[in-house]
Amino acid sequence: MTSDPKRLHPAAILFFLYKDLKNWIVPAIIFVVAVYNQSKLWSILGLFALLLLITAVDIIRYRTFSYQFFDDEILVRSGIFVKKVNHIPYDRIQNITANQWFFLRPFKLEELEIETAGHSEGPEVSLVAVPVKLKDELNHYRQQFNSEEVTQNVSQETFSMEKPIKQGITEYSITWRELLKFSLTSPAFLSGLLVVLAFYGKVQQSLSKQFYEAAANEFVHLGWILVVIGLIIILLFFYLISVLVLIAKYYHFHLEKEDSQFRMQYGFFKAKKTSISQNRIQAVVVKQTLLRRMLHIASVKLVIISNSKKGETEKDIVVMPVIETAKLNDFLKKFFPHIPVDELKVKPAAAKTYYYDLRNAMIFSVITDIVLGSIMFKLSVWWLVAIVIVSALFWLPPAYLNARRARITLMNDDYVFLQNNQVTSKNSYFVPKSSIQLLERRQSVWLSNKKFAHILLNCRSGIETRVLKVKYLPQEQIDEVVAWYKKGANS
Amino acid sequence: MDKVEKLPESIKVIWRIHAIIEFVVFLVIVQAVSLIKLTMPNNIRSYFNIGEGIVIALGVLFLILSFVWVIYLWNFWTYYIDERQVQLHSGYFFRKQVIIPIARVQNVTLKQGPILKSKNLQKVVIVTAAGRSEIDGLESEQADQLKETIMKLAQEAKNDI
Repeated sequence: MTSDPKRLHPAAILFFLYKDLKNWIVPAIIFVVAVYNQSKLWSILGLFALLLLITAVDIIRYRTFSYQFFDDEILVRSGIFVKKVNHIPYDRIQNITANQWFFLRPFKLEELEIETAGHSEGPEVSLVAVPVKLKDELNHYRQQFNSEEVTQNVSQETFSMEKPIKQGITEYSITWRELLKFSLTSPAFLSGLLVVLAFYGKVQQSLSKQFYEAAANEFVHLGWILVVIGLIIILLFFYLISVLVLIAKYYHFHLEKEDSQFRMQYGFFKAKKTSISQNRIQAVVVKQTLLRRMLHIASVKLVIISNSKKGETEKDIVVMPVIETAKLNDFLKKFFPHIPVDELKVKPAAAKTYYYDLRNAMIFSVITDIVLGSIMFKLSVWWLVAIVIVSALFWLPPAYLNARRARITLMNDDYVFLQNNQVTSKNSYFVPKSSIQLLERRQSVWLSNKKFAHILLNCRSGIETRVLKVKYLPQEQIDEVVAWYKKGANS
Repeated sequence: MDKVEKLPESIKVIWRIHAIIEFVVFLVIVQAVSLIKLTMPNNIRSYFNIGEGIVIALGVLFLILSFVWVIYLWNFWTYYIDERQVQLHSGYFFRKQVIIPIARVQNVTLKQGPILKSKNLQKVVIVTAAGRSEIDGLESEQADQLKETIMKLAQEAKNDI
């Protein structure tokens, strides 16, 4: 069963155009600015020629781009001068994402991004404008291929053996309450704050010039107040925008799981549908910032192998942006039935762990005091006091949280639970033994006398290594994990 | 192979040779930098000579320390290989223990430069999906045997990524 080679929808030309125009806009502006004074005619003609050239190239690009489904692979042909033929076997596909802008909805078109574990940057193949039906067709080919594979290869491992068992569909949708809590507590607007602060410097300069020169002292006070009020309004504005953006992004977040496929669907303006196969998942992470912990909400993410080069936190696939902690266990049980959530018994952190973490923080705090203090001491003693207080506030609370959250516990033969702290946010990992690539145990002589040690689990995430690290745990807990890991290392 | 083993004793010679090579490179760099003094007046040149002397003295001290370090490193660097996993242990004051299940190994690289060849050793690099670990030197037959073991087991275990 092979399909004919197919082209994208002509609307793809518009997408190509949009991308090219984005790339060319800056050089074009430079060109116009440079030439405009000398010759208006030439600058306009030049622009026009460029536009024509881009359009022509994009039309040819559209005409040379085709895709074709085979029994075991997708074939994508592209390229104008350099012909490129890309073969993607179905069993190498990591995940498929469908993006649909709201204006494409009436035309039943969407963008399909197919990712593999290769080392290329971004998705391996991006089908810019294709009919919505195509995704089902692709999934159909994949399933057919998989079922053939399973019948041929009986000795497959437990993870993929779950496939033939029909489990039906499990689903979960985000509630409005959760979405609101999530967007309201997002620190995303702080990046907006940085922009404002940079801007503020300039505003203040021009303001003080105006006011100092023209007006009397009282007026300056008024001006200062105005600036503060203006700042607050701008901040609120950024905050509101970030809240609205987040709501639009995760609008109607819906997760469903059929057989061993996870499907996520979300977004208001740009509807995104992602599907991931269960056996691509390396670990499940539950993340909680301090503020969200107070509101009893958390995010659930997946560590997967992909070819994205984004930062560590963005790289993880969000499987549920926000969920109330009370519902978390049920959620995990529903979607990850092989994680034995009920068997999780966490012990409170040992007193010694607090001692070590706080001791280290004290050392760092004192070093900060000495370095900064030796400079500031000459100004005033109060500066020194301020530095001591601020550095203590900076170092000690994260250290306290580090100790409080440091944990590693075996759940059963296949899963380990690891929890650590990242400045103030709490990360809980559920890691299957099969995705731990390497285990490292560290201990100094002095810790050995006190029967304490560190543990590091290396997993694969994106295209890099993710090291899950817990420091200062009782030696017996760590040795238990080491023994567990050694026992069935090849399962 | 089922017991904790130290690296072959000849690796110490290789580590020392490496230390000496590094020292020679260091000396060459210092000499190259000291060419600057030709452009200096005499009175400053003497200060410069003192500075150069201190730097070289530090280099020699470092060389001696690294000779002692080689003994420490060798005494506390052990490995253990069985049918399931490779274990590497190092350090006494700061102990590190690495466990790599053979089923997770993606590929094994054996390396041999002229110095290693003279002692009939091979460097073994074990690559997993998350990073790499190195054994600085194993006797050639042992390295080949390790490679065979890993190849055999890796073929049995389906390592699907």
